[in-house]
Amino acid sequence: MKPIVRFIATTRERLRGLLFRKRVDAELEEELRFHMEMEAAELVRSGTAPDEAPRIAAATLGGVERYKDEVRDARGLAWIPGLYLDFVLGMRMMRKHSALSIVGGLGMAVGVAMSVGMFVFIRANIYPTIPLDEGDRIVAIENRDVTVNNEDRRVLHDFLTWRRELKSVTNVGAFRSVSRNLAVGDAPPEPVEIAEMSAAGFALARVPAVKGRFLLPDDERADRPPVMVIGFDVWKNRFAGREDIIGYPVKVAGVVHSIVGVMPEGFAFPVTHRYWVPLAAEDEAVSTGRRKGSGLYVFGRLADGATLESAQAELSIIGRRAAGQYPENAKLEPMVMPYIHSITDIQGIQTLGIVMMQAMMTLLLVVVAVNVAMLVYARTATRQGEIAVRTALGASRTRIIGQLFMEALTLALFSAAVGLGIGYVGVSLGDRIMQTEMGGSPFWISYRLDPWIILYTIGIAVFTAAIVGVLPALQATGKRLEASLRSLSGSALRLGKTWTTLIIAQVALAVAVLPATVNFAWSEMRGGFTRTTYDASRYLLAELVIDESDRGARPDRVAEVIRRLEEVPGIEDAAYRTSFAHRRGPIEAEGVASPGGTSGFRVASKGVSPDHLSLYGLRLAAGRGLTAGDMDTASTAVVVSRRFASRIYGTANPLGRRVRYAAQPAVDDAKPREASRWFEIVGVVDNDRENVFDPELVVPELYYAVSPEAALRGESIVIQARMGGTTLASVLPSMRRIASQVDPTMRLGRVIQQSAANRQAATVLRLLGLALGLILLSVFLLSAAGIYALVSFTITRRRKEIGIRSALGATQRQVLVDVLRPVGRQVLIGIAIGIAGAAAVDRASGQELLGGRAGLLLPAFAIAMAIVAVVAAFGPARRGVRIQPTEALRAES
Amino acid sequence: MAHDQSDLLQGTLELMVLKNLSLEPMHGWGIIQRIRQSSRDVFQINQGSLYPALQRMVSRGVIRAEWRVTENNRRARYYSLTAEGRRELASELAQWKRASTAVNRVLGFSGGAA
Repeated sequence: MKPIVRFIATTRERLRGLLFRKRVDAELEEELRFHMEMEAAELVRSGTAPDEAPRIAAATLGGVERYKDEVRDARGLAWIPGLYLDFVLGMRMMRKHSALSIVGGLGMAVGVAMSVGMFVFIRANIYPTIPLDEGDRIVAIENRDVTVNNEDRRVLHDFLTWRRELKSVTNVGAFRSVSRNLAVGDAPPEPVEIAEMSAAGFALARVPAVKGRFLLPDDERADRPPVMVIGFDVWKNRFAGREDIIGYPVKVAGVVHSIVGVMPEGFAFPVTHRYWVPLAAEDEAVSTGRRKGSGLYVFGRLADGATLESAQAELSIIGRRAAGQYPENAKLEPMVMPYIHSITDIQGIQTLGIVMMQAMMTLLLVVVAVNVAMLVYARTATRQGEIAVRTALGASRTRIIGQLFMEALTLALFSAAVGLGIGYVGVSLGDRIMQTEMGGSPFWISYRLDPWIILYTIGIAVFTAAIVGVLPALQATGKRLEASLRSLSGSALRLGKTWTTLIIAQVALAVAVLPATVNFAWSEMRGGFTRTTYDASRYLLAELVIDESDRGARPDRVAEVIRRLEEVPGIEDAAYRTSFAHRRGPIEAEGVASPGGTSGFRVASKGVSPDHLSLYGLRLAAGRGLTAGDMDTASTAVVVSRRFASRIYGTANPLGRRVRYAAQPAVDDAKPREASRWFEIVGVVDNDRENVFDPELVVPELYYAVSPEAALRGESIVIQARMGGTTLASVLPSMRRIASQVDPTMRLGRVIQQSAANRQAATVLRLLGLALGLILLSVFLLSAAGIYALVSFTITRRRKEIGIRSALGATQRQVLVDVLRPVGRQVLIGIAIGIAGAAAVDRASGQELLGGRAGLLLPAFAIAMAIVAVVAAFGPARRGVRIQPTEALRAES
Repeated sequence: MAHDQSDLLQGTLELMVLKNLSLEPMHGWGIIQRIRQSSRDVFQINQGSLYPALQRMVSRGVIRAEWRVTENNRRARYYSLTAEGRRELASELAQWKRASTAVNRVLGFSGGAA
């Protein structure tokens, strides 16, 4: 018989029996009733009295329920009612042993959350599916500089070649992401992120516009009028969904663009974009050489029948020809890769690395599960009688193990559901931070709950249940079960060496690992207690962005912006500083030895306008502040903070002392740097930050005056303003208008209140603190639960003995000591091993592991663990000493 | 002389059911009666054996079940052979003939079934 035919028939019948059980049972009853009636009719034909025939037929047929079971067995579904019963029993056990359920369940939920959270992260960020037609065939092409093993995005020349010649990749296009001021009507201009993209990008995406059209190749020509395509939510929110949007004029960096299309909701190709303009053509001169022009991302789709390998082969041929034509750039090698890998730069991640990441996160769950398994094993000791009776009635060892596994699975599934919720909250939080910090997640990232995630969660639950349920069940149904059957009394279970070793190991691990964990987390979190010495809520920071090509022109623009800002009602004062460090690196102080092993002191160098210090109310402690004359690039004047002075000079007067930026050797692909010229300290100001827990954490600061034109060497400068009696929302429109009026090519980027910026930085630290708290709580709870179970188990096993000893005159104290002695021994051994291990590792790390606080942390955690053990043992021990001899002896007889 | 279930040669119940159903569709009671009559009361199939066997055969796809109305206007479940069942019957019959011929030879009977 064909196996497939048999499989289909069998599956159909099983599904029928499973899904329509009541109807199937009803049909069987009807069939058997018919049989009985036919049997009765036959009996009547053979002479039986008509009123007797049905009774005799029924007696002959026997019970219908028996046939139901046999027919169900024949259908292969006999195990299902058993499974359901085990599930109901599992629920009952959870309710009955609520403490174990809560402690174990929460612990497992945290473990599941971490494992599932990592799985979700990996799927969304490393192996996502691009939600476009044939998304898995969309690729990126980039040049890799093999000498520094890094990509080089100046690919305009090569892009034109690839677009012209590649056969294995179609719809070859490119984009760059730029920030420009967008002015709509009379509203103040706002900076927006725009994709300057080839029309091929829309052909590649294969998503039609909901209004108008998307970009076409003709739009890229320099002689065509500027056009723009916008996203659906931009149309709805910024343009109020106006019907005449097509042809509507907007100004982009002062240039009028006509809107030609609206893309559908959710469309954000190439990354997170909602505005698209044609990729600007560059000078022919630029395109005649490699490594010229601005950075580009190149994309395409694999042609029908092409693979990444075949595309790479073709690309390599083109690359070798280009290397021959431009030997000075021979180290550039073109590479093709999945599109997302180029955007997120994850080429380096190997499969093994990902598996390791996932395994580490799941390891915590394994540790928790082993702990819960110990608790379950101790609980199983109280059910020996039940297990023995079931075995005597014919239940196989497999059946009993199956039952215990189902009970564990019930708890594990509940924990998994909670863990899945916790995991998603964590992932959503991370996503929200990304939305705030980076303006949104790439369009391919989705944290939706999909079948794979649910399947993984169920798999994790089954894995956990196997540890929690099967391991104790194997122990409980082993040879000792026979002893229980013979004695029919108490429990023949013993906590063998394995379990006592586990208790010792658990205590040792907690004492060894927790101090280092706490020390690490505290080191990170301490920085979160650094506060500004001024009211951060009164200050705002605004990024003023100027195009590279424009930086040299009109250096007075910044001063003009500052001047106009100070006239805005609600703005008391304004200043600027550089957004990146002109001068950076460790500081050498003349006549002062640098810290051992370093080239200089770690300080924060800030290029500021002369009135920066007064803006923040930083009081001058010695010398003078910065002046306009100090903005001259030849000036050597610097002002330092009190912290800088105390850190480097102690109590000595720093005025007149000289400092310079230390020489730096070449690191990776950074060139070596010579030491700078000497600068003279002309003033000392108050610290602008303080840390009540550890003043050492306040970074020493050095201020130097920088002119606007010098500051404009970077892409942007930071405008700082102090508000009085107003809010950021009130002054923001004025700020944007001022920047645009002074120069339409300038735009205000991110504007944020200083206090909000501080809070965001602290969010990560708060999350770290929360995670640490959860881990600490889990470890202590589980240790306590393990010790509680151990003492309970001991009391249960030794009930009769305790009763006899009490009857013979032993005092409660003597009984208590006797019961707790073995437990105490195990805990003390565990603590000793933990301390020895942690001390040894700390010594080997040069006292880095515990931050030189081993003398404090190790005893503290040893005492904490001892307290946890005492508290955990208290309850069952008290129960033990209250055992009445008569009750104990009566129960055993 | 009646034999109870334990005397039934292993594996022959399903063969006998297939054979009977190859003649015409039948309900469970009818199958029992036909086998009893054909075997001249040698085999009296217990309903506790038949119905699980019928279910196994339905699950394997060699017979199908459907509800029909009897000549007495009663609803009953009738079983009939499927194409797979006909193939299995032919194969099982051939095997049975080979086996029974070999046994008969060993026991000293002349060729063919006893």
